[in-house]
Amino acid sequence: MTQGADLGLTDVGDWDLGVDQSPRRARPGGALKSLRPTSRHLGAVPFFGYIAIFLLWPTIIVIVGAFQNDSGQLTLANVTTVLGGSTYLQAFWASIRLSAETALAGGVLGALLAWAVAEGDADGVFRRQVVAMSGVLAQFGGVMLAFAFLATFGYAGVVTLALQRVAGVDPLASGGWIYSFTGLAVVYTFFQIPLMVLIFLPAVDGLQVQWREASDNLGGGSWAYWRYVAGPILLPSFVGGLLLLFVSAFSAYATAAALISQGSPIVPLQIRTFLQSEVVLGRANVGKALALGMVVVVAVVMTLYAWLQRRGAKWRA
Amino acid sequence: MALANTSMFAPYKSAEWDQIGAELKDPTGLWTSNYTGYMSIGYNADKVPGPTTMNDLLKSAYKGTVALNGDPTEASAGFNGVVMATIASGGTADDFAPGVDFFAKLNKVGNLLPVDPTPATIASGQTPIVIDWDYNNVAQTAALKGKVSWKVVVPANEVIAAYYNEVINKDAPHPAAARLWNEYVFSPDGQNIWLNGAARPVLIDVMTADGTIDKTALAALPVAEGTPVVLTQKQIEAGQTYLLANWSKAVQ
Amino acid sequence: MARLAKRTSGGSRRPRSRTLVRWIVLVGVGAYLLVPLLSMLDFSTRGAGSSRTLEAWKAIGSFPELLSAIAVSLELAVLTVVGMLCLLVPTMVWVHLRLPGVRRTMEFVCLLPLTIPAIVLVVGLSPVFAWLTYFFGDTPLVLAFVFVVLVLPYAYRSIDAGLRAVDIGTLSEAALGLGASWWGVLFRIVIPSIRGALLSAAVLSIALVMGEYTIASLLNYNTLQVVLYQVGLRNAAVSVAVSLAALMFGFVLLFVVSSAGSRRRRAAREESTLAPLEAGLQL
Repeated sequence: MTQGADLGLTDVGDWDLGVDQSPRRARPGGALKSLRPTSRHLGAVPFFGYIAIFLLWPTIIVIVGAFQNDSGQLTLANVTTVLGGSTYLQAFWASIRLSAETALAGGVLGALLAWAVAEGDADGVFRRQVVAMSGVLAQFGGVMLAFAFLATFGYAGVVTLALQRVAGVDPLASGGWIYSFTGLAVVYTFFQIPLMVLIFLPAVDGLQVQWREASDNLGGGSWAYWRYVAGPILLPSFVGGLLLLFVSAFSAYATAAALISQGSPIVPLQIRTFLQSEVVLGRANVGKALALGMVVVVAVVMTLYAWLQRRGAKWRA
Repeated sequence: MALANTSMFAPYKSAEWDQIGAELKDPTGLWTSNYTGYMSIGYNADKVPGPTTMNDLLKSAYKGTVALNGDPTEASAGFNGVVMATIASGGTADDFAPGVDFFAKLNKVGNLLPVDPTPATIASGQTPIVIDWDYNNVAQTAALKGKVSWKVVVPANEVIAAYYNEVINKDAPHPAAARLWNEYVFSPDGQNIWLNGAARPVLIDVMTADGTIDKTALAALPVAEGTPVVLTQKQIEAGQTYLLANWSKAVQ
Repeated sequence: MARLAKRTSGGSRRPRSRTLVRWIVLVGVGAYLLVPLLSMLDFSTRGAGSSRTLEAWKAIGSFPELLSAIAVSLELAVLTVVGMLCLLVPTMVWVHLRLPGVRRTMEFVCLLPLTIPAIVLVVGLSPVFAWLTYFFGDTPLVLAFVFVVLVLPYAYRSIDAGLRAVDIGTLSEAALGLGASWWGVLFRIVIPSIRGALLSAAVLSIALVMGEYTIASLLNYNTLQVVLYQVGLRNAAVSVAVSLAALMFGFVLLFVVSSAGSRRRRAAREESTLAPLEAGLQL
């Protein structure tokens, strides 16, 4: 390769290269095949090396540790403790139930909101506001969402006080519903809705207006359109979205940790006990078994999701 | 916690070491108990009637008011709160079942708040009753003087103590300073500082006998009738196992 | 007998019932999302009686641990963005151009942080962090190494969307044929073409790092979210105020970045930032 002269190729946008913008694999050409395969693969080594250290190594520690006792010998004791202990099974069931219910609730409402947003201007201010706000709430909320929830429904929260003043009802009279399963469900739905909006928007965008027109011209009304045209097209994306929502809720930790300081109704909080307890010691590997259980559940759902993605791909533009 | 990590400690015996009871120290000096408190019930006298024993808390007057300082599977204060409930229910420290059942009942009648009490929650009135070490509750009384009337009671014959331990890290960057600190903690001056914070120093009986105790601070401690119960290592481990398997679902 | 349907032209005229349903949904779900934010505003500005006060907001400055935690989180965000860009961009371009077979593997790997959530990862991270603190000392900034892994799914999808939108293959072939070096191709061809996507990836990474709690708290580092939680135990109003500020900061960041791309799209033939941003956020 020659060190050529400075060709001033700074802003490619200024050049009309006449290439069409559709995504295409790089065509094998002369310059691109100049190196042997092994040298080419070296380029990917830094990335995969980094991943090996900071993602794969800890994961292997968890997976292997789940089958070890404190002295490092292989054992199934941790796994049997988890599978045999009703506390842990209850926590898994609670986690699964919570994730499924909030995925459904958030999925339906989020899909509706996505449809409403997609009907508007694709480049407009409103859509960008919704995307930005949804992004923040869905992906980066964590602890802050717990505070938002407490500010609304907590002991001195806006809605609680309003209910006390206006309706004379104290929702927190007997303990705190906000610290129970119901409370978790409400706050999780709060971030599931914007997450579904983000996931589902491209699917709704993909609905061509011509399809609606064709359906109308053939005599169908709204019901027929949704039942026979849009519904089947959107279904894979919708179900895929539900699966992603499930995974998101199942893996969530920050919001629950900030909200629930006592009791560990769901699996991530059970894991917290093993990492933070000043009272329970020498049982850390049961925590690893719990973590392994989480990975298994999530892996199953993600496999389902990947399969669904491949099936739904044919409808995407 | 100390017993799990003894390999990281350096043995050290301060000048007063011999005066500490044998069950409160490691024979080679790897760890030494330095202070304790008694489990107590702190309450907001403006909001709720004063309880005298743990079983009072089951009454309907205490609906939505009782907070335990920490999850018993995670925090020592919470753990010992369950011990206090066990003793109050007529059980012994060998089996935590009565204690866990007590809290399950408390939860069922709607009296238990699954919230960690903090200075903020106590001041705002969100947690009118707090089960915690007496030195923590007494500190709140002082902090909230004039704003909230916070009182502390150690239930008679339900007295639970658990000592926190002093250790020296084998790899301490300043080993001489660490040992000097150890000496200070167990000297009368150091022990009286614990007393000022309403904790009970390990040498309290020795110092009361030879007059080096701070008498005003001693008088300010909450009255505790009955012999304090201190758990043995075996009872602690049995309790941990039981709690890990049963606490979470009991207070669901 | 087919009935005469109402003609719609290009989607700009819709039947009134659809518009009504659309508005009902927007208002309903919008309220659900906005009420907690407004509650936070109300909660943090409550004064004695029923007055409004900015006490809590002004008091933010009197929590030194909060201010230092904000600084730590911002530094972590910058380090993570730098690390992510250095790690991902050259690799993705290389894979896109020279190793298309590795693409599927890379995509799978970048989705792994979703299958191995932070709460699971942190259980196995102690040995890794023992080494990191050995090399770098006891600073919270070593968290950046792990944060780069956490942002991978978002950053990968964002940059991938950008790479797909521009025909990098042809452009780089042309440049190489004209004598540019590989680094020249990277810095003079590819990066300017995917500026929007890079910006999106950077912003998503910043937002994630500012909001990260799981790993920082369980490894006992004092980042913004960890200290926010601790402050919340002592002073609820201040922590609610900071939460609201942080959420708004994230919102403004994402919104401004999505707008930056759109305006440029009309001027030049670069792709927008909105598409990569949306792509990055979709998990």
